[in-house]
Amino acid sequence: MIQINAGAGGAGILAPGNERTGDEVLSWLRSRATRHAPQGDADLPPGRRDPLDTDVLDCLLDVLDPEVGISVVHLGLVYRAARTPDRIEVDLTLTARTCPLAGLIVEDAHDCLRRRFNDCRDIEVRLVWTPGWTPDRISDLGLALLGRPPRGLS
Amino acid sequence: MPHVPIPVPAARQPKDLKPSVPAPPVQLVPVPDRTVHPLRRAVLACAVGALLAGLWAGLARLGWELPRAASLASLHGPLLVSGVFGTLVALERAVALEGRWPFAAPALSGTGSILLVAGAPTAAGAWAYVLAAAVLTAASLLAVRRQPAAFTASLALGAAAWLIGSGLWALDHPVSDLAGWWLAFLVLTIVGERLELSRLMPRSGLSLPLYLLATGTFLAGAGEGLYTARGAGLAGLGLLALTAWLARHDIALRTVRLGGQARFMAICMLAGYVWLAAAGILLLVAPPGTHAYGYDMALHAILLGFVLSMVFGHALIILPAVVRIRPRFRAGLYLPLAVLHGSVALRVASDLLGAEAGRRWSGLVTVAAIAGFAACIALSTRGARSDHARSGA
Repeated sequence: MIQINAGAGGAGILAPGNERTGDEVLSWLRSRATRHAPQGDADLPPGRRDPLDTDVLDCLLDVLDPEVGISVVHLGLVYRAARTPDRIEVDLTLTARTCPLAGLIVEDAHDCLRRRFNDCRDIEVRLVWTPGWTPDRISDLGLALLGRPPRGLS
Repeated sequence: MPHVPIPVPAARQPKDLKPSVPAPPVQLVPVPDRTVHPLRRAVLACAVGALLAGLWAGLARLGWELPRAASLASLHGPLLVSGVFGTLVALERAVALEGRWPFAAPALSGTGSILLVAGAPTAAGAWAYVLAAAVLTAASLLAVRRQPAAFTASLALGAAAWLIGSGLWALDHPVSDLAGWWLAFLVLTIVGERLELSRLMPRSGLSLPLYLLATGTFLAGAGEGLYTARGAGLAGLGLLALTAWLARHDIALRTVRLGGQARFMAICMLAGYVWLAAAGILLLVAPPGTHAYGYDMALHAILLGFVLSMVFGHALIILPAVVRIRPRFRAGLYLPLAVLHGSVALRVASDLLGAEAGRRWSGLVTVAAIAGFAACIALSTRGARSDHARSGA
């Protein structure tokens, strides 16, 4: 894993020393899991338009885009996170198809999930390229980490 | 990886022990393939060999008395630009594209390096580099087709510049005439990738046109030739415009605040941008055509101050991606980075003043920086491996 996010990545920006258990993070995760899926979902077949599982997302917060040092979750790169007792399925994308880090990020996500859900029989992390990623998928927390104002504020 | 669609229960609570649909037959889901194809390691070994030979040749050119100096000296530029940087870029592009044929590019450039260092006729190694660049250009055009964007076009244009420069060298043109094309290869490749990352930053309607204007200006000058007044002038202006664009749009301005590895990578880039601007100024006020060391200054400000600094920063993520070597970031890496930039400052100052001793010693300091960096990476990789083994993961 490139970074386990223990203080080396975005620590201290959300809530000093507490960025993973802060109330803001949990409430954002819940709202993310229950609101409408990202706009590209019209391309997906009906069975795929699942909300994102909060526990899987929480685990994937440790998987950083190494170029940027920000979690794949905050960058809006997680398209799907489905979980049953026996199986976890995650669909990830990247910002560019020319990135040689794709296999690495998939591997890190797989390792992260295996460490957290080691009683789950099957874990599959797939790289998908449609719908194409756009910067508007970055979460408000991701924007804050990038030093940008949240959406809706000028 | 084969994907087997499974029925997902509507109520997906962790407490549910019985899914509402019958369980599918057990399917073995393969874990990600962790093995590294031997070709990748061999190609990386060729790049390391080219680096050692290229640095040896560089020290010889600075005036150090070394064995095999005469035969290797003229290969300094090609070994480092094509044998090292070209091989690395081509290897990354091949890993990203996930086909088999793009791997021919780094294999060919690795072969070219072996031929040159082993003493084969220069033409053999030179044409191997040309073929490598041709394959990289084709692979980069495929990337443009898959993701049409200004940044993929930049990468393809950079690959084409490598092809043109390598072709001119294979046709016996002096390196000093074609060096602009090789600089364009590296500058366009790096800045193209920064353009892609800049999508995370706020952009205006002018961002892309200004980027195109800056790169176009630089490319026009580099292609014309750094030894011509107009070529040096356009290249210098282009570099200054690119630096200004990066100062406004590059993500390093933000990631430098994150700390740890992200900050280290950002500082490597930002320090590089300082040298990019310095090279631009040097090309304008002390161009190769008029200043005795104008060529040396501009070239090494870009290749050492900008490109090699970027390599120092990205080694931490490229090595894992390409050959599954996982070094850990350590604060100690700042030391060889500082030594690298110190060596570039010493070189440029000595060039400006015509101080031969300073020039000669700056080369040794650069080599020490590279050796120190490699040692830090090796030590932190071994440390990472033993931690991994201890944790039993």
